[in-house]
Amino acid sequence: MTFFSVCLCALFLLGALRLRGRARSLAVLPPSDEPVHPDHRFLYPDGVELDEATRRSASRYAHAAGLEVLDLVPADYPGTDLLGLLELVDPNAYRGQFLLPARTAGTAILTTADCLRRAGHPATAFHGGKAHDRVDFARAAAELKRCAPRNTSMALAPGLRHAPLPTPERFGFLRVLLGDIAGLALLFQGLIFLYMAFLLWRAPLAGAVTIACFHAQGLIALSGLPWARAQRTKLTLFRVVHEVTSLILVVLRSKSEPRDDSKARAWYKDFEALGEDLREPTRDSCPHCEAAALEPVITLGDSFQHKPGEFHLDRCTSCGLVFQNPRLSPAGLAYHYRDFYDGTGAEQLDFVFSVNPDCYTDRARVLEPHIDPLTPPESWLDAGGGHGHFCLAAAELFPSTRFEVLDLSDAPNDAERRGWATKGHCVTLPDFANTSQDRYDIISLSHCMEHVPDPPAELAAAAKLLNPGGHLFIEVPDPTCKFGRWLGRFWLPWFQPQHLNLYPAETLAELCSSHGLQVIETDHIDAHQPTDLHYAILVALSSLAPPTNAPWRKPADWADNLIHSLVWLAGLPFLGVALLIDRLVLAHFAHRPGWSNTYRLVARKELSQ
Amino acid sequence: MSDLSITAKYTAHAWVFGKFECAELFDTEEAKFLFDVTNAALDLTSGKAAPSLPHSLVQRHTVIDRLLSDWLLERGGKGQVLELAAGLSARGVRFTRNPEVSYTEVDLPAVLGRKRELLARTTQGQDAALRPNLHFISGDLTHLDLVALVDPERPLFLITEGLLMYLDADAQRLLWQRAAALCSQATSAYAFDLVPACEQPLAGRGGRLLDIGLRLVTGGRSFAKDERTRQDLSTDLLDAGFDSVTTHDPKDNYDRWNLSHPRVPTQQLLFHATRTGSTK
Repeated sequence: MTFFSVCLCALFLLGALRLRGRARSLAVLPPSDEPVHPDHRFLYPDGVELDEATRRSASRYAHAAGLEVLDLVPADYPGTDLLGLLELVDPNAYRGQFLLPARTAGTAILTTADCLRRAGHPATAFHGGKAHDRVDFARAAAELKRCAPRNTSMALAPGLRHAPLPTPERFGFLRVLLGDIAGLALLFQGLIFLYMAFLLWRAPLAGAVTIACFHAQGLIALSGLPWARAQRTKLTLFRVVHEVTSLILVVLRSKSEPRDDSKARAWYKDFEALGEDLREPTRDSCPHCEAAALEPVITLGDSFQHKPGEFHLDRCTSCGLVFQNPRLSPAGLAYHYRDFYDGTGAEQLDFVFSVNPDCYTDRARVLEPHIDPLTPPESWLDAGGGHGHFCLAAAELFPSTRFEVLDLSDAPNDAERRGWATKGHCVTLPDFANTSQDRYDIISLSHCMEHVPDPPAELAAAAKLLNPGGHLFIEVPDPTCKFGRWLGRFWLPWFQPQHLNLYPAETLAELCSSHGLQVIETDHIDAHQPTDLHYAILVALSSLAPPTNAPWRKPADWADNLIHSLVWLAGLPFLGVALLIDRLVLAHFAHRPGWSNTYRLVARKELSQ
Repeated sequence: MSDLSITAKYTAHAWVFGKFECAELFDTEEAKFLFDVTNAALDLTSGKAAPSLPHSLVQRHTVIDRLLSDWLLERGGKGQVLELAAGLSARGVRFTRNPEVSYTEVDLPAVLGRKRELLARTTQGQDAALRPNLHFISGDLTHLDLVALVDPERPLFLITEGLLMYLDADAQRLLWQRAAALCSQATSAYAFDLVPACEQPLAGRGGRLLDIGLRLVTGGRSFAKDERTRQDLSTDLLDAGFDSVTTHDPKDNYDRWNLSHPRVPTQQLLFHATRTGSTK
């Protein structure tokens, strides 16, 4: 017990030092006599008073710093909320974290007219303090940051007064900031408090020291900051009382606002009523080489959404292609893709795609050796690029390149509106190639080929759309990876039912050649994603505790939510250990044949074509 | 050329340590902490004869300031300056007090974003950030169209301070070719620092510690080293298209650079390449 107490104290104190650094990097707006910039707009909920001095200082700060979005933290922001905000955001690095979801104090935001226009509703509703729902305000902040990913920051506004966040809206507000882990975070916080109470009961001295360290966090983090004097005192004296009370109130009085998924539920109901055939006939030959030499690989269910159905993968012993058999029909694909990348799944996927921005830059760097640095590519089409995360990241490396994104969903429209891509095309690559006159220096297909029903058609389209001498970049999971066999249905790259075709590198290279695309680089080592074990844990946890808010399942009650949170909380240590093994151990074995789970191809279109 | 902002933070306080004007605009407690901890670690692990990192940096910054001042003086105080990988240097702020100087700073978006926010913390910094003759351009240098950033009809003073040591020989030569193309107008000049690996003392514990630290915070990147001497480097610069190259070792002539005589050893080497005629 003493050991855990010491660990907890150490964590509190180290956390306090971290928070101290963050609190100090929160800029305090200097006063300004300059008028508000004509391009600046202020958003705040009904009830917040935003005086002229604050507007002027915020406007001048944002103008000088080149910001499009500036979240204003009131000087009297409650200490517990302030520490919570600083846990979520490092003001020092916030602007550079272009894919990090937005953080907000929920009081007032400065933005530009253009950014406000692009963000649309609900942000526009808060212009001039006309709306009051704080959950919507957090949503507005989130969309504004997406519209200004590299020009969003926060600063302390000394003249701004805090308007308390109504308790019933607290959980909803937190949910917008943290996504689906909001409940988990509250549960974790509750467990910490319970453990401290238990310590106080069974080992009073250790318990008292632990609580003292918890209280000292505020003192350490906010000492030396003149604007934080009141918060510091309150945190030092009453933190546990404040936080426990707040937690109980959030649990008891949170406005139960389940996501309005009535339309989605109606769609699933109608779809089931139609009784459409979700599968094509079972094949007895390989769709690539037509060889009638198939061997079964694995049969598994939907590991992520847990929609009904089982999916079978076969391997062609002639060319090595692993494919779904029977394959989903267009109706089946529509059913299984729905609410994964968009709809109710959009927020969660946005979080997943924002976790590791470096992976996008790494992909873009693969092309560097094949490009003349003095003549960077003029145009780049990212096919299957969804919301344009890759385009946004790669634009840093190739600032003068025009990035366009293509996807079957309507996500490219968002990418264009937010400015993540110059242009978005909501169409398949073959259809785009048939209609577009545009030509590109580079086309990237990152984790796209395995999703499309007709890969040769994609390659033919890419070949048509590339300029002579242009490059095609492909990144796909490697079906020959040994982890697929070792981890079975828990190996993420099987990714059923979405992965229809998994080509071995040699077969895909041949397919490229047959379309006039000469493969000039194949990489298995740098392409490897150190995720096998911890993603397997994620798949296992997802099987034990599937998503509770899915419109194709029965609505969850509080018990379902509690069980879901407990399972995921219990899985966290395993997830942590698996992550460490992936990163620190297995990543170093990627050079061994069959140990890399992903490969990349760079192909060049012949000049004569 | 990825995010080396940790070195930007260290040098931000090094300029305060060197008492450069306006350096305090970019100083933070974090930078000071990083500076103090790094120096303490180096002091503990290096011998007395090892060159002092902060003093060497101050010398480098001073000499480049002086070369730029002299160049502007020759041109009646007018000129355009392009500083690549400017980091948290206050040089742009200092020199743009003269409205006749057009100064463009280039760095990664995260670094320049932070730089502008640091400036915006104070009224003085805000005034500087909003000067029409001070420009901030974000982007990775490797593929950034640098030609678009300068007026090709006017001579240019180009600076890359604290950058070349991270690039391998091929990347350096490529950058110098681009630099020579930018400096196509007569009397254009290019200043940078680079101590050839063969002139550097064998890395002691301090050097190794610095190297390990740098690799940790930059995802494995560190100083690039090769066998070229300062003569080889000068030849590479001439091959790239410059007409003359001068090297300056600050400790050879403290008076010329108006440097105080430090009691600690330093090591620094500045290259000053110029164009005498137009290639047009």
